[in-house]
Amino acid sequence: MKKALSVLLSLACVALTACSQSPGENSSNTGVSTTGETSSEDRFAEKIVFSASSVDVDSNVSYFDEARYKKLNEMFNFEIEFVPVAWDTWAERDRIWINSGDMPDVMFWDLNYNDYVKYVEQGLLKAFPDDYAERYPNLAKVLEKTGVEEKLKEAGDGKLYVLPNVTYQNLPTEVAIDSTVAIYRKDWAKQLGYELGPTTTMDELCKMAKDMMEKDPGGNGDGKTIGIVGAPYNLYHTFVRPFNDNFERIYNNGTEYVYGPFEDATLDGIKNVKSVFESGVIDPDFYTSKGIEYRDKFFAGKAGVLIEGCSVSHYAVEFTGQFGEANPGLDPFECMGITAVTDNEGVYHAQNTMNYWASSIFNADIDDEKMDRILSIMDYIATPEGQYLVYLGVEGEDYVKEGDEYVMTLDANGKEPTSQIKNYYWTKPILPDDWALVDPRIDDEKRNVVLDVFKAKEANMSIAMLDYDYTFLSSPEKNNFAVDVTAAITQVLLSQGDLENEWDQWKASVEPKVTPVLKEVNQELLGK
Amino acid sequence: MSSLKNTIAFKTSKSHVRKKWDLSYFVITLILTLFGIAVFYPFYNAVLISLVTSKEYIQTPFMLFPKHITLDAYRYLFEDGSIFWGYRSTLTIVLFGVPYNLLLTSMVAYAMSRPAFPGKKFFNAMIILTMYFSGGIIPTYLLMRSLSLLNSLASVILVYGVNTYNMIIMRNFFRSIPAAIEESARIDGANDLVILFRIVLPLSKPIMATMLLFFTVDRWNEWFNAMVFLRDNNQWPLQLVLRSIVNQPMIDFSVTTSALKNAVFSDGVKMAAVVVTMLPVMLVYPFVQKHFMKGIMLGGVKA
Amino acid sequence: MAKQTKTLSARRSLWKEILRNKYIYLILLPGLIYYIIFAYGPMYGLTIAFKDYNVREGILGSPWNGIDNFVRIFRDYEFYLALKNTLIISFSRILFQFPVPIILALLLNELKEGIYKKTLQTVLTFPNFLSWVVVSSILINLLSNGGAINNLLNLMGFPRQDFLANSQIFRPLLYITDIWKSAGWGSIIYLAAISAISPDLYEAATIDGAGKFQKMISITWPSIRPTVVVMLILSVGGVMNAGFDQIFNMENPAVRPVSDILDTYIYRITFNTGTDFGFSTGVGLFKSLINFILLVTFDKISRIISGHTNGIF
Repeated sequence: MKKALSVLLSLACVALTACSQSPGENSSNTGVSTTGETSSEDRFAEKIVFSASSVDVDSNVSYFDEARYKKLNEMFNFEIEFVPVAWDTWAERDRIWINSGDMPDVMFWDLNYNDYVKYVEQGLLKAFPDDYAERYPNLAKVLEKTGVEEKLKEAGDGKLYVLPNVTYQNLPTEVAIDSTVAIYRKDWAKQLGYELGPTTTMDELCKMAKDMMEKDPGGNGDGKTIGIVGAPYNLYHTFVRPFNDNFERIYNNGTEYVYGPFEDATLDGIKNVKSVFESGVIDPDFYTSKGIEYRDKFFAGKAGVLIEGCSVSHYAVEFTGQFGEANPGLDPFECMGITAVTDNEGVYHAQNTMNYWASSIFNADIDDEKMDRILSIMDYIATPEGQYLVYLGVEGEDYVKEGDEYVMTLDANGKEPTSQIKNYYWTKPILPDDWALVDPRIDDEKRNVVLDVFKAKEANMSIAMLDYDYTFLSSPEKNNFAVDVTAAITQVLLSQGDLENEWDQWKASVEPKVTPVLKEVNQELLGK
Repeated sequence: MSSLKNTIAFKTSKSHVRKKWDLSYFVITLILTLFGIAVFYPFYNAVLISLVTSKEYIQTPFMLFPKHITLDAYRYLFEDGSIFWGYRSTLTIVLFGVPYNLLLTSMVAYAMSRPAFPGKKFFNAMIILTMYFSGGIIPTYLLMRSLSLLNSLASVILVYGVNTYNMIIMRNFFRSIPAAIEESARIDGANDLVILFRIVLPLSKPIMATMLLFFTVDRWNEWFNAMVFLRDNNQWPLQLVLRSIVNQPMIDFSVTTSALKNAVFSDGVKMAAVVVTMLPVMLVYPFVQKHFMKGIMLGGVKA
Repeated sequence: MAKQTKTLSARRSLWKEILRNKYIYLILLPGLIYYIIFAYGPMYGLTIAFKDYNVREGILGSPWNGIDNFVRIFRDYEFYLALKNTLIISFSRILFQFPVPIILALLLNELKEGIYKKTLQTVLTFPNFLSWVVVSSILINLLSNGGAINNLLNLMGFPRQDFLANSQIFRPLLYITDIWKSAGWGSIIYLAAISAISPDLYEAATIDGAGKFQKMISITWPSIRPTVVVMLILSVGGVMNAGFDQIFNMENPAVRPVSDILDTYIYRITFNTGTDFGFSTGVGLFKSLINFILLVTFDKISRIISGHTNGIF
């Protein structure tokens, strides 16, 4: 109890320091760049209270004293009732709420098209006003960038019911592609005489990883250095996809829809990853890692290569930060290199990714005024000025500018105080990936390390394009189609038996599931 | 009265045949000791991991004693604070939930232990049926909403009332109480309420102790109903908090400021969370164990 | 005419019976209210299994779709896999796990009373009271490739084992870890039966020159056999519950083909992969029905075996 009290006290302290700073207006963020027509005074005269769910928020912590909130509240006159969800149960809770007609006014939701169609059909979501593009021009830009606006409207008979969060407002490549790279110990590589460019072939990477294991430049002790760590899917992306761009999905091969995992090329890819695995380069423990534990092995200096999705913010902030904390005395940017892994001809096998992740949906029963208020705030957050407000905070309170430097205000523990407003997913119609591309605190040099890899991928790649017709097709068999190909590959990879035989068995077991879907999809989309 | 006590008193103290030290005794002791170590070591290991740095953990293949002790993992955990809120909720649930369970379950058990009364078969069937059929999550959620219990610990407390399995064990125990006692009380003018609370329950201390343990453990380990009914995370019970700590985000997309997610040594923090969650059970259990074992030995399944 | 008076008097005596037992009804009432509100109140939700569930129209207003949901269920290969695994795991548990507490009780009974026995019992029964979240976190850590057990194997010169993802090892692992967690507590019920045996029997046997093992076979075992039979029937009656909490917390996708049971499958289609509640409610209903049929069957059997009219329930 005593400890609970001390936590409470420390929280109170954080709140106090936040308010003891002068709440003076700062002049650099003048002018409310709202949407225009009516004066915002009248439009937002009445205070609106709305409930909204999100991960990473805490109902124990008040946000009223945050400079970010004060600033937003001045403009939009609102209060939020937090509905916190945890990462491990948010899908469950979202489902319960929607299916019992009890969702918050605005809900953080992992956009699933089939569910979306069903929810729209059942009238569970509130439609956006028809003139949303004029009223909320910044959100309209976000929507356009996601690339799915039209499809989403199609499902709603021309009306829009969801706001997906755009991953990149400023796409680093022409179409959105995966950010998977090999993050490797540059210092070890140098010691062993390797110098990798922005791309590296599979064989080169494995050779280097093997060397790192055998020569143990990190001094872990004999046989204790791991070569490559990574989540199963990322490993298969790296070692199976080069053999079949569509190894894990149903796709249109030009004449009809077929199932990639059934193709011989997929088997070749699995043989490849199996031989890599058996050579000992891949962490023998790779499949048991819960969540993102596998990263720790890399950060702790136990592994030479980490295969992982790596955006600018990952590289420049998160990963290097974690590495630095785990290895005091080492410069993370000197020690962590990134490179895209290509096939042995130097071609990168990319995956066209959705340029959005998760979304906000609105309870069908809220009134127009409430929805307008929420969307207006989000529209403001989608402006560059709004982005600065959410991610950096208010100048003079959350940070001060010293020349070109942004100096963040730290709390007693020397950390940036957590901000409920910043943590709130609803304040992220533009996801943090994009912010990292413009964040003034990140050196361009570091930013370019990641962007160069993106460009190098794009320069010589074969890409599995998203098929929106298929993705957004809602039909009975397809809606109920779920096969975990990653898990299947893991199983045959680890199995003692004959690989081909085991894979055939798996194919036979899922066939009854796949065939009706292919039949249906071919009929629906190609009229066959 | 005293004769009755004798008939159901538990005979732990009865003198056993003298056990001799010989080879077979040695072998049996060895087997049991090994089993004991096998049960004990994982807990010890968890405590160790929570106390060392990631470097030491990774570099020491089989740890028996830590070289350097660090409380970093616990510091991370307590900074986050959610574990304290978890404790508060869990204690509230235990404090109100367990008496509610005990009262309801023993009343039902008493009624069902009585000889035939009109409708008994029907009630019995009705109760047994609920062990196998339930309406499901959505209707239960809607029920809670119509009772205005959502987002209140009361929902988690009330929805788990009678545990039918425990009720059966209690009923069997009540049945084993000699009818003579009850009859003499009845002649003295006592009704069933008096018999239950003045005679049967006082005679049933061991089984009540066991039920107290069972219900406390159930309540302590509760998470599912809480996940469904409770919105605010300051209401979440310990196990739900623990789950969110040990099951880290499964998505490869996270730029967050949560103290837990920036923890460098996640294994350490996880094990610290595990240790903090089981500590009270570990501390209390050895002292109360004796009483509970008596109850299960008596109540048992006596068909 | 005579018949009518008879029913009339029967009715009158029924009323008398009810009055005579009024306090019993009073005592039953709170529990009954509990069951009616919290168990039967939501029971109408089972109709979702035969409906195309629509949130707006509510559970009662949603259109019926006959057995459509079940047609889809019986076409789903994951369903059959889960059903098969449920049965395999349950029966294996009976085969491998069930005898352990009995053996443990027999062994514990041989120990001298004292501090050592008490401590041992405390250690052995303790894990039973921890949740599977806690236990699985501890065990997964211990059993992972870089965990203590594998490190120990490695030190002793044995190859590392993929305990958690090897589909041949995973099921035995479930049994072993469950034994680890609950065998100690399970042994208490048998210890109770053993402690009821009169010491005279043992003394007489000792005088007759019987050894430890002989006494175990001819005295101890016969006296705990009824308890064993009842426990066995209980386990067989519960085969549709193959241990959700344990598997839910310990599984990973690599072993799902051997570890996915009906309950984990239902959880997944309810909350993650499935698209409608009609489907998942249908699977749940199917499970309940089979379970219930098994229960009734085994209750009958237990009545016959125990010769007791009460059965288990």
